[in-house]
Order: sequence, then structure tokens, then C-alpha cells
Amino acid sequence: MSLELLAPAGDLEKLKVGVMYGADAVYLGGENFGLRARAGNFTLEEIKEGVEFAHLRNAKVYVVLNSFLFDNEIQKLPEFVTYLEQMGVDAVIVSDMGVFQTVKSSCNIDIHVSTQASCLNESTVSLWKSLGAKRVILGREVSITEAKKIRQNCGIEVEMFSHGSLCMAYSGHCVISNYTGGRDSNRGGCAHSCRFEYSLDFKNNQKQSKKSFFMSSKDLNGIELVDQFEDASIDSLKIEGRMKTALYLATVVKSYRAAIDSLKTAEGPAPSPQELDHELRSFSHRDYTAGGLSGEFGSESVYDREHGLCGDYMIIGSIKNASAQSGLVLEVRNGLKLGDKIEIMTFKGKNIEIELDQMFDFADVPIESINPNQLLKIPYIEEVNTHNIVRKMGRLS
Amino acid sequence: MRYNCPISSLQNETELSGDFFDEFLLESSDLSRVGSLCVEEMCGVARGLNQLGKRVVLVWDLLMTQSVFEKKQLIFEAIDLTLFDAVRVSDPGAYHYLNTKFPNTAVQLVLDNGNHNLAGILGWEKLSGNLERLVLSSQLPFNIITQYCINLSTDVEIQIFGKIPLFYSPRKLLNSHLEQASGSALLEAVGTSEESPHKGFTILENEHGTFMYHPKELSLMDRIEKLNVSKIKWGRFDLRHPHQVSSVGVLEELVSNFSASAYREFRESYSHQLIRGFFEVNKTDAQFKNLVNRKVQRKDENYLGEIAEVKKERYLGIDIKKCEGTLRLGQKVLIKTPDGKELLTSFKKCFDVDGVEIQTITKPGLYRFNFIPKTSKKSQIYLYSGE
Ligand code: SF4
Repeated sequence: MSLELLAPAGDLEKLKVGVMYGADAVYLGGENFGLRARAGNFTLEEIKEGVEFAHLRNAKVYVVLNSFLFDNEIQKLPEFVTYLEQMGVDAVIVSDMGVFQTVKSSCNIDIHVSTQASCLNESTVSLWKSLGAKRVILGREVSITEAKKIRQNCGIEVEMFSHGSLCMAYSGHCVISNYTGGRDSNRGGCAHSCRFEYSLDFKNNQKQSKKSFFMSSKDLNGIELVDQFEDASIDSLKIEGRMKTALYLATVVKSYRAAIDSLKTAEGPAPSPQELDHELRSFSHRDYTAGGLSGEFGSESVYDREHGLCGDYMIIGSIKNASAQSGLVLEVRNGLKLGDKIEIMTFKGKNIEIELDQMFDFADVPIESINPNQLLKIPYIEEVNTHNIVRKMGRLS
Repeated sequence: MRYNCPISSLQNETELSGDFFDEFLLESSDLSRVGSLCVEEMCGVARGLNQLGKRVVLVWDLLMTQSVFEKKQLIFEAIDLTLFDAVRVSDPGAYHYLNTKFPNTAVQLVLDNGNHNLAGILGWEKLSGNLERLVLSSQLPFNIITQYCINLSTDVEIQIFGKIPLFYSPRKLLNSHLEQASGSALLEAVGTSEESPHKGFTILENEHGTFMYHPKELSLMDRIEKLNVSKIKWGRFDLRHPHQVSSVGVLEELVSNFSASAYREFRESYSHQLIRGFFEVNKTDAQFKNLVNRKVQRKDENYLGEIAEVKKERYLGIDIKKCEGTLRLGQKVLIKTPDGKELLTSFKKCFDVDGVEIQTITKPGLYRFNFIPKTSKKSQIYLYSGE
């Protein structure tokens, strides 16, 4: 058994990026039932296309159903999940007992129980196993040591978060947005109140009043613990971030893929932990913490400041077409000019750095610069493929 | 309807244990989220209340990672359960543990967040042979709860009065602001953010983590007559803080003999603003109208692809994603722009990615078409079906 790398797919394009950069599986939200109200949820046809694309490359597709549903929505669920099963979706992710029961009685699709269902201990995991769950996604508060025990004693697949933003509360146990903004945080409406700055007035003069981002969490980064996940027989490592950029996705998936592959010998020279760490700091992120993975969350896991842009790279775009005859076609998201140095992120191994000495528009007319949202043609490079992400040193202002 | 109330400290016991409440929820610092009774004190209080003929419930409402669960299990197993009429849990693991290891112990299950559908609540109900109470979410409106009561065979409890919990984290978030770590002592602060429309959130930190409460408190007192004749069997008064505990006499009076003027007077003199929460709110997804992507959702039938580039007066770069048949020049296509406008048109010229002029498209890929005004990047292209 090997550690599965599970990547978020915010849309069809990102699904392809995730798979191409080495994800063993991707998770996505359907139009009606995904938690992230603002993530680009998939239409049925897009799911079908995503499944075909992923399966062709031996990757699995999991569909997220993990919002807590109301009675009228539950009624529409059997038809939807039956269709998912017919399309070949590998599993659905659920957090609500009602959704679980409804899926179970409608079809035979595998069910993964979401972290929203407070999967924190052996007893909870045994409960879901007894109900027929294929996998549980442990809460971010569970350490790898605890997860190992759960995996050994419960005999059910275990998935753990390894990278991305962290919710400060126990999953499903923050309803600040529900009461302050009329947006249900358990249905994707979180207003991120935990990222606000608060002035704190301590009772009984325990401390002078203070302004602080006391509820904001650092981001999770478990790449250095990949060997421990493997040793604990964890089945799947989850990357958070269906709403994050393709640059984030490509960088994180590629880095974790390399880290996981380096556990197996004979895979050629692996990037050093320093190189991987450097990569994970190359895009905008909050400071990192290993969170609860190696024990309790300490006070150092709080990100007590406003999240500003950081990271050395910005996205330039993605390769839409690569052929010896037509060259490389790049969908440009940030402007470029002749002489700029860009870096094409290969799916595996060293990236390719080039200086732009020839640029053409999509009608093959030579150009000196290009604005965002246009198609750029540049000469062909053999190692470059469709879906490669292109980045550039620098920061958006 | 019968009423119950937590006892979280010894100070509260004497003031609360009058006739008003039929049941007490005993909260120890070891097993409950915010209680401060030690286990011995809790058992002592239980004995006293037993003698008064009150129902007594042991509260074990922590959420627990595996290592915490193992420690709490030891504490729980050392408690004389004959002192208690039931055990109240929130963690699904604690629920499963009681159902399998203590099948004769009556259980009360807190389904506080989520669990907003009957199928789920029935699912939890059928997992226990000894479930005596379901504590439902304060976010469920009255009409839905009463409907559920008809379908459930277990008694239902809701919160009637008290602080509204908003947030439960295992992390100690206040402690780091003290010069000297406070260990497991209770820390309390009031938090206000300029970015939030609400001011003055109560924040508590104890050995189990950090809890945040709404600046206003819940009160369904002016709906008490309606509640009393409903199928909801239990109403909970969360009276833990001195300003709440000192109000118990007025609340009791209002319950037994409600008067609008007395309630108005109470509201005006009470230290916190009172709200009814979601009690009469019709919870729908209207909130999401502003949230969902504004992009025009792709329809699957007749979908061809989308515009990747608009080069004004020169060309359109189009990413043909689906091409089941053959797309010929001159065929009618419908272009839907991201802001929802529709254009019925046809293409007159097409080049493949190599720049070769073609008449028909038989496979997905990037193509260059003649320019069409009023289109924009990300516009969706559909084969026109005549409808
Ligand atoms: S506000 Fe913060 S803690 Fe609450 S649900 Fe959102 S991310 Fe989690």
C-alpha cells in the first residue's frame, strides 16, 4: 500500500493540473452539494470529463457532499449520487449522518467521512466503519501518532490533512458567520472572522487590553513528516485549497509527489528537504506550522498578524498547447515582455528557465509584449507539456 | 415542557437547585467544556440532588482526540454512574463508546452544529438502545423542530435561555497574550473587531481550549407559552454566569406566569441584549445568492468550449473542449458572455493552432476564429440547437 496524494480540484482546469503534477486522487464539489459555496463547483458534464481525464491517468476522483443538508436537499441526493456512481466517481465525501444514510441506501459508491463529522478518535472511526464507511478523514487536531493507532486498531482507510489553511475551530464547530453574517459556515459561507484583528479586554485585569489576530491560524505544512505518515500507514494525504490558485496547486502537488516518491528508493535523485521547503515558500502563504500533526497545537501555531502577500513567484499562466509544429501556446495571466525570464514548471524534476527572446501572438505575428488574458506563442521546448504552469520571479503589486 | 440547567460550579448550585428545574446537568472541569466542578464535587452535588428527587445528568460534552479520549475514559470509568440518571455526550466517539460499553446507561446526545435534517437525526437515534434525549441545534427553527418531534421517538431538548456558543477550538488562544502562562486557569476576555458588525464577544479559555460566545444572549422567554404546548419536551436554561444565575427567580416567574410587561422590564434591566436567534427564521440558502460564483454556469448540452482570447478586430482564440460531431464554418453557435448576454452567430474563418486554415473542426483544441464583436474572454460557446 502506498500513500495517496489527494489534491483539491477547484475547477476542471485545476483537476487536470493536479493530476498531471502527480496527484493520485482529486476531490471536487458538485454544483449542488459541495461545501465551498464560492469554489468553482463542477457541472455533471465537467465531473464526467474530470473522471475520464483522471482515470486515464490512474488517478481517482472523489466528490465532496459535505455540507450539512436541509431536508428538502436530501431528497435530491439519491439521483445525484446514483449518477456519480454511473460516471465512475470513486467515492463521495460526506459529513452529515443524513447524507451518509441517504447515499448508503441509494447506491454502492464508496463513502469517505469528512473531518466535519468530528473524526477525532478510534471510537468515532469504529462507529463510521460499522456503518459502512470506506475511509475517514481525521480532524486536523489528530497527531500522526494518534492516527497510527486509529489506523491499526480500526482497520479502515485513514486520510489526514497535510497542507494548507487551517480552521481555528474544531471542524464544524464554528458558527460565527452564521450568527454575525447570516452565512452558514458549515455550508461554505464562512466569513473568516477568525482572521480579523480583535481588541481583547481581559477580565479581572488578567492582562491589559490588547489588539491581536489571536484567532488566526498559521498554515499547515506536513511535508517534512511524509515519512511519519507512511510509517503510520496513513492511506491518504490531503492538500487543502479548492479555492487556491493553479500555481499553489502545481507547486504543492509537485513537492509532495517528490517527497512521497523519495520514500521509495531507486527513483533517481530526489530533491532535498530544503529544496522542497523552499518550493512551498515560493507562493503567497501564511507562516507554516506542523499543527497538531506532531502533538498539540501550541501558541506558536497562531498567525498573529495580517496576511500580506509573500512568496517569490507569481503565476504567469499555463501551457495550453505544446507541439513541435505550432510551438508552445501559453494562456497569459500576468503580462510579459521580451527579455523576461520565466520558469516552466515541469511535472517532475527540474523546472525549465528561459529568457523570452521571441514572442508571437496567436496569429503568429511577432510581438514585444503581451497583456494578461491573451494567448502567447513561443518556440517549442521538448520537455514542456500541456497543463504545465508557468511562473516568474516577482510579486504582483 | 420541563426545564433543566447546568451546574458548572459549586457557587451556582445553591441558587439554582430550587423547584424551577427538574433536571441538572453537572459539568466537571475534567469532562465538560466549561464546567469547573472537580469530579468529587460533581458526585457530591449529584448525591444532594438525588436526595431532592431531581434528575441528574453527567455532562461529558468534550470533543476528544484519541489521547484525550483515553484519559477521559479512565476518569469516566472511575465515576459512580449510579449517581446519575443519564450521561450527556457530544463527541460521536463518546456516544459510540457508551452505546457499546455501557448499554444500560441512559444517553443524551448533543447534535449542536449541522444535523439539520431528519434523516440524519433519525440515523443518530437508531444507533443507541438507550437514548433518552436529543439536544437539537439552536439553529433549527421552531416549526422544523416540532416536525422532527413527531417523527422521533426520543425526547427533544432545545436551549431557551443563555449564551450562544459560536466557536470551540482545542487551542489555547488567550494564554499566549499573558506574560506568564496561566496553566489551566480560566481566562476570560471580551473581543471586539472593527471588521465584525457585532461587538463584545465573550471569549473563555480553559484547559480544553478556547470558546467564543455571541455578544447577545438567547432568550425564547416571550415564546414560552408556545413552547410549553409544543412537543418539545425539555427546555434548557444555560445559567452559568453570575448575571444569569441571579436572574433565575425572574425567569421562573416568567415561565410560570408570563407577562409581556414583566418580560419587557426584565429585558431592559438585563445586562445583555437578548435575541431569539434562529427560532423563527426560515433558514434557506438565500444567503448564498451573493456568494456563488457570478460566472455563468456551464450547461452541458451542446457545449463546445470557451473563448480564451479576444483580439479586438482581429480574431477570437477559442478553446474547443467538446466536439462530439463536426463543427463546420457557417453553423449557428450561441455565445454566452460571462455577464449573461447571449449572441447568436456563426464563424466564417477558422485556423488550427498551427495556423492552417480549416473548414471543419473534428477534435478539441485551440482554434483561431474570425473576430466577433461584443464577446469577451471566458464566454461560453454552444452549438445552436434551434430552441
Ligand atoms: S471563521 Fe475561521 S474558525 Fe470559523 S469556520 Fe471560518 S475558518 Fe474556521
